[in-house]
This record gives sequence, structure tokens and C-alpha cells, in this order.
Amino acid sequence: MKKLAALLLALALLLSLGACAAKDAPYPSRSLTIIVPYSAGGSCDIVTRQFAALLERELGQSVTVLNQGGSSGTIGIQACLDAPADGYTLVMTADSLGTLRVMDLSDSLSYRDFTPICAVTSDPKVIVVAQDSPYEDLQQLLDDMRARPGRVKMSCTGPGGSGHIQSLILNALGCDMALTAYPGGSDCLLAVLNGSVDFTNANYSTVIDYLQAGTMRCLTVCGPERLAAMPDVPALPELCPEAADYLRFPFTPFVLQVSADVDEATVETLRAAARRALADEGWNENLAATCQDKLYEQYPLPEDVTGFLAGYESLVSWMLYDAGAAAHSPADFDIPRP
Amino acid sequence: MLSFSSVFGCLLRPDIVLFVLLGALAGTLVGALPGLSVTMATALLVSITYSWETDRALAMIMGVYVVGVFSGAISAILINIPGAPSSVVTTLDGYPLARRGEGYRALQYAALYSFVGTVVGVLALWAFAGPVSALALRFRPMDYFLLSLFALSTVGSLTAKRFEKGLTAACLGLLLSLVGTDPVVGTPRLTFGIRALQGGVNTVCALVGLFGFAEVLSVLSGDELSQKPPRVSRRGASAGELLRHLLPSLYYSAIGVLVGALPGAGGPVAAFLAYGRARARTKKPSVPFGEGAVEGIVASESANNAVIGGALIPMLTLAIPGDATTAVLLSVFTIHGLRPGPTFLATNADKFALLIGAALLAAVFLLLIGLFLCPHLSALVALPRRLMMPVVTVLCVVGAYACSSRLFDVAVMFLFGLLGWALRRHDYPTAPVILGLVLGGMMDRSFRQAVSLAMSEEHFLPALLGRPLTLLLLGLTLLSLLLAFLRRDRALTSGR
Amino acid sequence: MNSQISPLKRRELWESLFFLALSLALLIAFALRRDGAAVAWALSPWLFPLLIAALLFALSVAGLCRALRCGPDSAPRPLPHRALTAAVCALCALYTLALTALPFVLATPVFLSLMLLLLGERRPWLILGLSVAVTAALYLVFALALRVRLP
Repeated sequence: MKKLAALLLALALLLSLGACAAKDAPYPSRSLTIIVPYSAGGSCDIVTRQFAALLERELGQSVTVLNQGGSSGTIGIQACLDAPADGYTLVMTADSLGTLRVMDLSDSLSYRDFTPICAVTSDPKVIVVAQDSPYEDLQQLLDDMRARPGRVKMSCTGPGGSGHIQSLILNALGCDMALTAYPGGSDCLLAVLNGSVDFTNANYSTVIDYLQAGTMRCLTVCGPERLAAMPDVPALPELCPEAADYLRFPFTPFVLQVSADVDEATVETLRAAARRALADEGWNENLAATCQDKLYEQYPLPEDVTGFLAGYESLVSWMLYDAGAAAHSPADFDIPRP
Repeated sequence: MLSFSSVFGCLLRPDIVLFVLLGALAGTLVGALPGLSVTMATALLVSITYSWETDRALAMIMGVYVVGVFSGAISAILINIPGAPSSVVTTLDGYPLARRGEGYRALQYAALYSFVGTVVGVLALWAFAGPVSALALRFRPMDYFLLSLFALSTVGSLTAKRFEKGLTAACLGLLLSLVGTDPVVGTPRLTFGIRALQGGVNTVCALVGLFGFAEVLSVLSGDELSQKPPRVSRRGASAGELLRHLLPSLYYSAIGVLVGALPGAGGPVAAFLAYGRARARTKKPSVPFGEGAVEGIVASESANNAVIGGALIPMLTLAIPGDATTAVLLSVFTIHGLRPGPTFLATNADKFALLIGAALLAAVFLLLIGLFLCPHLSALVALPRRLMMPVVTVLCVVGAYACSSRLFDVAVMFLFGLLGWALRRHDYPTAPVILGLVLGGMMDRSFRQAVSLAMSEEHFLPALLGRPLTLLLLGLTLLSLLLAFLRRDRALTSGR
Repeated sequence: MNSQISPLKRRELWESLFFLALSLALLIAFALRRDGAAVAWALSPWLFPLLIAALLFALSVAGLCRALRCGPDSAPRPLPHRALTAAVCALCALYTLALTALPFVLATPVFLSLMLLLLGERRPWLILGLSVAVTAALYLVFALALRVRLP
């Protein structure tokens, strides 16, 4: 027994010495982790991994991406807050963080628990139909939805998801469709391909190949303007000017954040590194090719990002509540009307 | 279609061969350790191989994937703890063989037929990617539901003694799979207010607990602790004995390919279905099923390795992953600038050839590792249980934690262990619980999707069931349920 | 003959009764849930659990009938090491709690040593050696080679 105790004591001393040594080194002195609160392979995951590689170069420390998906991102987001607030654990949030409280998925998680490092990208949302669909253009689809409410079928990723929110926007334009929930974005596309549903609202980067191969057609871009890659496809506000009010925010904003408890100096180091990483040529070319919105150019300063996130949260929370899809009122959390 | 030279040409590159080998060795380790799944390993590799040349990254990942699925059988056979959900069925006949000291023989079968399964799957990918993908595309939610029901109906064949016990265990699994947030409406179900449960029960934690920790408890509470471990026979099976099952294994591999090609289904479902078919077809197994019939291992291992080729089909042709590991593989492709989808096979023929070549090479390594490493591994069974059990427990803890880095999962794992132990003591089989856990979410979702889609049509029932594929599956499922019910009655009257 | 069979029959009976009670409780609980009521009955999140509970109910009734009609088909298994099993479970619970405060490399060797002692191992060099070696091996494989987080 004595030998065991002595061995343990020695081990403990060694480890604590190691820990002290680590604390005195300048930030960053060991590897960082970026948590992706969604499963591997999704658009958030892909963007994060690409960005992590660039960040690694700028910070000089390895940056690992950890997938902790589930519950609309609550698990991964909570994990970031549970980790020590020393700046070594970051999280890439998407749209869901704004609606967790009203959707009763979390008691308190919101954008306010985090300090944004930088806004990265947003994937434009487009409405796509299958190759052999009877709808030739957007007007026909909208007219059909108005003529046969509740009969035109759309696939989406579940309550509170970006597809659901897009459907609420369409509802506000007088179009009622029949929604069916699927587990992920790719399942929604599959449903369109095999004819189970009539159309879906997808992230542009996920449908590029289908559009090129001709197996799918894009009817419209759900954003303020047309995309450079598809100059002939109209933007939704062109046919429905009322939509412009809803579509002023990007709907899949990927924002790199750290816990709000991390100190200013560390945050500034991260921000500077992120700015340099985002200036990378290859990265920018890649984004232009896939028509991703460069949020870091739209919202360059931290105040811009915070303001944008607050505006986004307010718009989407009230939309969900007014449609009866949210369990709690945004007023309970002091979220002002947009 | 790709030519032979393009596929085998890439094998002439020594760096590719090296990376496949490295992946194969890593895969052996990862797959065999309970709690570490191939999916997790692939996810780790994504970060590690980010800066590598694409070909090398793909080679290594295929090595890990192919051999990892097989090596789940190693721990399944030797210590009754499947390395992954796909290997659950292998425990049913593999472990009894190991207990009798015939672990080496069991591993030989597992290795050979994993090889066969992989090759069949990859050949299907090579030659039939288009037609299989088109077939898989035709499956709609109702078809998925019926397929799951069909898989569950095979559960009855898993229990030698009582039909009801197997189904009850499956029901438990189904109920547990529903814990979490309802994906359609968003309300939490069965979470009892615990936020940590909102993500649902992690299958790997349940697996590790139900099989791993439960095994530890069984051994501790039984007589085996003080018993001498069995004498391990070094006599393996002869080539003739091994190859006798080649033809049936082609059938099981076909099942694996098809199930793999259906997004969302995956390894465990294929293994269960194949096992069910094996039990139905084999009139005179060498040993009764459930007590060491090698036919069971043949079925389960062929099917779960064939899933690899099958799952790659929708991933490459539609950018829709066939199972969890291919989902991670998809992100590897994207990071390296490749975009799977309808144009992939045409525009990236060289990468496609590399994938196939690497998979075949990995299959060869699988065979070599399996046949040559296994005699040494099977000696593990001879270690005194007193030393093994604590180590196994710690492995279970690490495995449970490794899923999502939460200690909560470790607690869940222990609870599942207690559940598994209680089930075993009362002669309830634990394998159906895993099947229920894996299928429950898909069944629930598919059923409601099917209903939701049919509700917006004018005529509900024809919309729900009116397609030829659906009717076929409905017929098959009802037939299978009827047969299982009748067979159970026959077993009763025969006085067993 | 009756006194020979009844204790055994009782075990099967209790099992079926347990599941019967469970399924009844679930049936009632699920049927009464009203959230998600905004959607049609077929889409309610509680439909599927209800179906499963109903199946469980049917199965337990069938099991009950069989237990009452025929005899049991297996003898109850003895539980020779009750105290040991309970002790191991307690130790595992403590280990999990310890992991909330201590890192893996400290808690694990202690746990391993204690468990080996419980199981009757008496050679101190083996206990220490195995505990440290296993912990070190796991640390190397998981934390360093595979870069998986350890508690």
C-alpha cells in the first residue's frame, strides 16, 4: 500500500508541475478545439474544417475540429460553455442558437453567452425542384400554392430549422404548403429527387452539382439579390416585394465564437488571427465559386456581428412565435420585436 | 465503367499501399476496442489528413473503414463486447465458440467472410453504382418503415426459447430510442426534464454498457470468475470447411449492399437481416444457432462488410451518405475539393478508381491480418478473468466518454450495463435491444413522414401504400411475421 | 409436484406482471400527453410510443398466460457473489464521480487497483504494475495517438 501511495503522490506532483508550466506560457501555447455542434459532413462542419486549417497557420498551434451534434446544436454549444474559459475552446454557431430558448430546447443558451470572434459565411438559400417537375418558374409554384393551400409538398429539416423558417416566410406571402420533416438537408434533397415532395428550400452549396447535372432546377434565390453563378434565376423579392423585409438577414450564418467569459486580450489575438486567415486567397476564391455570402465583409467589426445576431434572433424568434411553432414567447426573454 | 487498369494501376504506387496498410492497422485497433467506433476514427482522421495529398488521405481512410468494420468482430467473439453496433449479431454465435476455446476458428470465419463481403460490396460499387443508386432512390418513407418492421420480425428467430422475450427486448430498445427530442415536432420525449437526455441515448454508449459492462457484471456475479479459462485450441478450420459457405455468403453480401445503399439503414440492420435469413434457410446448422453456429458468423460478417460498398454508392452518386461513417467520408471529400454527386463518377474517375482499389487492397490486408494476427489474439481469452474484468471496465468508460466527451454518457453506460445484466439473468436476449435502439428513430420518423406526405393527397390510403415497391415490402413483412408466429407455435408443440 | 414448481413459476409470473404493469403505466402516460396537440393524431410524437407500449402490453399478457399454463422452462440462476457485485457497482459509481474532479490518469490507476483488490488479486506488484501500465497504454493510444479526449 505504501508503494502505491508514494507512486500516486509522485504522479500527482509531476502532473501539477506540468499544469503550472503550461499556464505561464503566452496564448496560444497549446492546441485549440473548435466545436461544431452538428454532425460531421454538414455545411457547418465543412466550413469549420476549412477555416480551422487556415487558423492553424495563423496561430501556429494545431486546431482540432470536434463534432458534438444533437438537439439542434445544444449539446455542442453547452460543451463549449462547460469547458474552461481560457480561449482554447471555440464554437462555430449557426442559426439555431437564436431560437433555442423560444423553441424550449434550452433554458438560457443564446448568442449573449458568447463573444463573437468573426462572422464567417452564410450559404444562400434557394428553392429547387426536380428535373421533371411541372413548375417552370417561381410564379407557377407560388400560384399553385395559393390555389391549392396545403397540397403542395415541401421537405424541411424540422421545427426551428432554416427550412422551416423559410416556409414561414412563404406563409407570410400567402402561400400555404404541406411540410414534411426530414432528418437532414441531404434527406430533403433526396425527397425532391424521388418525387416524394414537390420542392425544397436548400443551401446553395449542397445543390450545385445537381443543378449542373440537370437533375434539379433552381426556381429562385431566397435572398436580396441574384447569385453571380445563376444570373437568370430571379431573387424572391423581385416577384414578392414584401419578402425583402424578411430576407435582409442571411439565414445560415456561421459565426466563430468563444465563451463570453474569455478575457479581452485572448479575444483580440483570436480576432487578429481570424482576420488574417480570412484574407487567404484560396479561401476567397473557393467562396466566390460556390456563391457563399462573405459575412466577414458584410459585418467586419465585432459590434456589427453582435448587432446582426441580435436582429436575426429577434426576427426569427417572433416569426416562429407568431406562427405558433414556438413554445415560449420571445417577450419572456426580453427579445424585442423586429 | 472503370477499366481494370485504372483500378489496379493505383495499387502499383507504394505510397498508396503504405497508407492503406497504416489505415488497416489503425482500423484493427480502433474497431476491436469497444467504444471506439470506425465513425469516430474516421472523424479524427479528417482533421489529421487535412493537409495530406488527397489520394493518401483516401487510401488511409478506406483502410481504417474496411478493416475497422471487421475488427469489431474480434472483440465481439473474444470477449462478447461488439466493437461496433454492426458486430452485435456476431456475438450470438461467436462468443459461444470462444468460450469453448474455438475462438481462433471463429475469427477465421469472420476474417474470410468479411473479406468476401467487402469484395462483393466494392464490386457492386464498381459495376452497379448507377442501378443500385436508382433503386435506393425509389425508397420512400413508407418503404423504410416496412423494411424496419421486416428487420424487427427477424428478432423472433434470434431467441431459441421464447418469441415474446425477444420481442419484449426489442420493444425496450424501441422505447429507449425514442428518448430525446422528437425530430418532427420538436417536443422532448421521455427525457424526464433532464437536459442532457435531449440528444437521445447514444447507441455506442448503450452498446458498450449493454454488452461490455453487463458482461463484466455477469462474470463477476456468476461462477466464471474462479473457473479456469478454457483451453484455447490452436486448430483452425480447414480450407474446405471455410469455403463451404461461400455461396450463401454471396447472398448475405447482396443483402448488405442493398441495405447499405439505403441512406440511414446501415451495418446493424444488414447484419440482423442476414442472420435472420441464415436461420430461416439453414435447416441443419453445424451446431444449433446461438450456441456457436459458424453459419451465423458467416451471415453477419458478410453483410456488415458488404455495407461498406453499398453505403459508398449513394455517397458518391448522390452526395447522400449511406451510414454514419460515409457521412464523415463525405466531408473528407469536400475538404479536399471533391464534390460527390451526380457528376462525380464521370468527372473524377481517377478518384473513384482509387477508392475502389484502396478498398480492395484493404480487404486483402483484412484477410492477412485476420488470418495471421488472430491466433495470437485468441490467446487473450486464456487470460485470467480477474485481471481482464477491471481493464474491460475502464475500456468501457473510455469508450462511453469518447462519443461526445460527456461524463453523463459514462453514467448512461453503467445504467445500461445494469439493465443488460438484469435482462441476461432473466433470459432476455440483449441483441434485440440494440436493434430496437438503432431502428426505433427511423421507424417513428418514416411512419410519420409517410403519413404527413399522404395526408396532403386526396386519397390517403392509396397514397400511403399504393406503390409497387411498397406493396411488395408490405407483403414480405406480413409473410415474415406470419411465418415467425407459426414457427413459434410449432416449437411450443414440439415440446422444446 | 405443486410445491416443486410454484417458486419457479412465480419467477416467470413476476416477470410478465412487471412488464404488464410497465406497459400499462406507459400506455396511460402516453395517451394522456397533450403537447404536440397542434398536429393531427397521426403525426403526434406520442403515437409511436403508444403503439410500442400496446405491443409490450400484448406481449406481457401472452407471457402471463404462458406462465400460468405451462411450467417454467429454466431453473432460476443462483447469485453467489451478491456482495461482490454490489461492491463493484459502488466502486464504479465512485469512479465516475471521481472523474468529475480528477483527470483520467489519476483516477484510473486508483480504480483499477481497488477493483483488482476486490476481485481477490493479492500480488501488489501485479496490482500496481497492471494499473499503471493499462492507464499509460490507454493514455498513449487515446489521448496521444488518436487525440480523443479523456475524462
